[in-house]
Amino acid sequence: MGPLTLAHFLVLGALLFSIGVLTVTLRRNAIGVLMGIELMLNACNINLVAFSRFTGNIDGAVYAVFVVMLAAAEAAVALAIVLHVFHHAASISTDDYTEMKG
Amino acid sequence: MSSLPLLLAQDGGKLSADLMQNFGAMAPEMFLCVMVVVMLVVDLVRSKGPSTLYPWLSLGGIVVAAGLVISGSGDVTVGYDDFAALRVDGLGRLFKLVFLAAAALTVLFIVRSGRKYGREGEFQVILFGALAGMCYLASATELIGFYVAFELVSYTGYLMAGYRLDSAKGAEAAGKYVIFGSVASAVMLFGITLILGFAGTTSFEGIVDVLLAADAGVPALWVGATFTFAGFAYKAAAFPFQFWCPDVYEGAPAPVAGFLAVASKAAAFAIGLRILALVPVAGGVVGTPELGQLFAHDAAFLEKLLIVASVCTMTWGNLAALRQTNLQRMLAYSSIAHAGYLLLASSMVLRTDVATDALMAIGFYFLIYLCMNLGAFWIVTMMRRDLDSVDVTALKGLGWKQPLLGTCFVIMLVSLTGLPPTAGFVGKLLLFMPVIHEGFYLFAAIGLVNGAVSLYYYAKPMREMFLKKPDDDTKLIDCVGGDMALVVALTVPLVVLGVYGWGDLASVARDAVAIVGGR
Repeated sequence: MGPLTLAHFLVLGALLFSIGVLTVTLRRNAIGVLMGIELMLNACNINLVAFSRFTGNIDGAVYAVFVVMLAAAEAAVALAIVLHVFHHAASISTDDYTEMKG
Repeated sequence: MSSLPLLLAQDGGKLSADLMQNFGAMAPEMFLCVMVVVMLVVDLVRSKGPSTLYPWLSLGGIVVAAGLVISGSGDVTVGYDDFAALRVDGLGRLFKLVFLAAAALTVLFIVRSGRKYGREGEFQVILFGALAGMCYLASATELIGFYVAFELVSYTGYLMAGYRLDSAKGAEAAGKYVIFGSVASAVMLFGITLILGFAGTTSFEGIVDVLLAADAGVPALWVGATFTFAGFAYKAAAFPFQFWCPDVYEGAPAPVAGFLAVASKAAAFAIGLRILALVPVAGGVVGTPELGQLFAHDAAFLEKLLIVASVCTMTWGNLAALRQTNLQRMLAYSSIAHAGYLLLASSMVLRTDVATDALMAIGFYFLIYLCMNLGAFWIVTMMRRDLDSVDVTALKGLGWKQPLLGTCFVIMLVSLTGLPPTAGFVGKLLLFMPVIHEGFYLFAAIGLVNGAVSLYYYAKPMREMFLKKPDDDTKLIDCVGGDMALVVALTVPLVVLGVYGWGDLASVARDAVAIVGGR
């Protein structure tokens, strides 16, 4: 085993991102979908921090701090809205959100 | 390591001069942020319950912000040393005025929609947050500020869509909007991380330079650019990320749907055009690039991507709109089709010899789109208030009983179709002229055929209003005084620009852009 390189981290990021995408597409539970989105955002953070560490460019690390902050804000907004939907649909399954079609 | 006081002591004069210039150029954005706090405090201090204070305070704030936008002039870069965060120019100012006008109309619509939400203060807080994000977005020149502003616009949009707590449809609309929107923005972010990592800079200009460098054929950059496009496509409701749009616009309150359709879409186009304008292609690119060389011909790839997306967007929007009878949902599909027309003109921004014309055409079209689309959403708002239905059949015979309202609505619909003598025709002609000039006759023809198809569904309300006789028990829209003034105020520009525009089409667009300075 050689030393860890940038490629290792990028593969990890891509894998985590794919797991996030799969979670979003396969989950029928709205909370589960939101967790998948968090995985996707964290995959982005791994990329950013790895680029920053290996190229010595601080931009990536700064960007990651903003992503963490926005992910928190997004979770707050998304959970509030899911709760609001739950009050009306009495379900957190995305299959039941079918009031509007066509 | 130099601490801040040391830095100030050493370079105080230059730094403070920079700061003054920066604050001056960023005044509209900073004022909007201050308004967010003001609204929040006023909402906390005041006792609960409906109040007319909020809308008036809000309108005052919007007028002041518009004044700050207009008072700026020239082409100012905000930043220090070699770091540029914002570029305040004519294009940005034009879009900022569109956002502010759309917000002002939305506030008026909500006041007059007759519904007492009881949480007016909260809504104004969210609205000003959205405006601050949009105005920043229209000027952003680097990725960090862009991303924060983009997400600010998104989050406030989600909250506004679900603003009515008593509506099950509104809740579902917000739920779909937030879930699809978060996924799209996460995909965009992943693309941005790849671009940022491989280009090594956050500035759009630097990124475009790296992308266009001949030896930069890194597939990761290609993936990054495509992923990033997804985020824009979602905000602009362009194919293949348009599926959320009908549900969200149908479920959201009609004034909010109008705001999202005009301002949120304009914000995506404002920043998209700013990036596209950086990519120069002298006279266009000939031939199909090899996959490996894709980034040596990045602009050609981008152009194809945009043209394919635009053709799919307008065709899908128009075909899906054909079978709609719910007016609010029909307008959602219509807004998708318009995103398609605008996207086609956007792809022409890549061509050096028509870039300026295309930018002007898009800016001008958003001014018209503001009037005709918000006008239509205002009539839908009144239908929901007075007729308890937004179905086209609710308008049966209305034109005979309320001729002025009916005529104004017909003018808006004709303008949305893009037929003379309305401003919609002038706008659409300006959009398609660069396309024809560059020899893309096929795509211009597809655009025209799409316009013809759209006549079918825009004619439905007209037929309902004027070709059918009213029943005795037909409900009327209670449209007098201020309500009627709003309708007329939104119709008059459509007729005036449509008739005046006949003379010299291009000069109208130039004047419109020149009024706000810059380009």
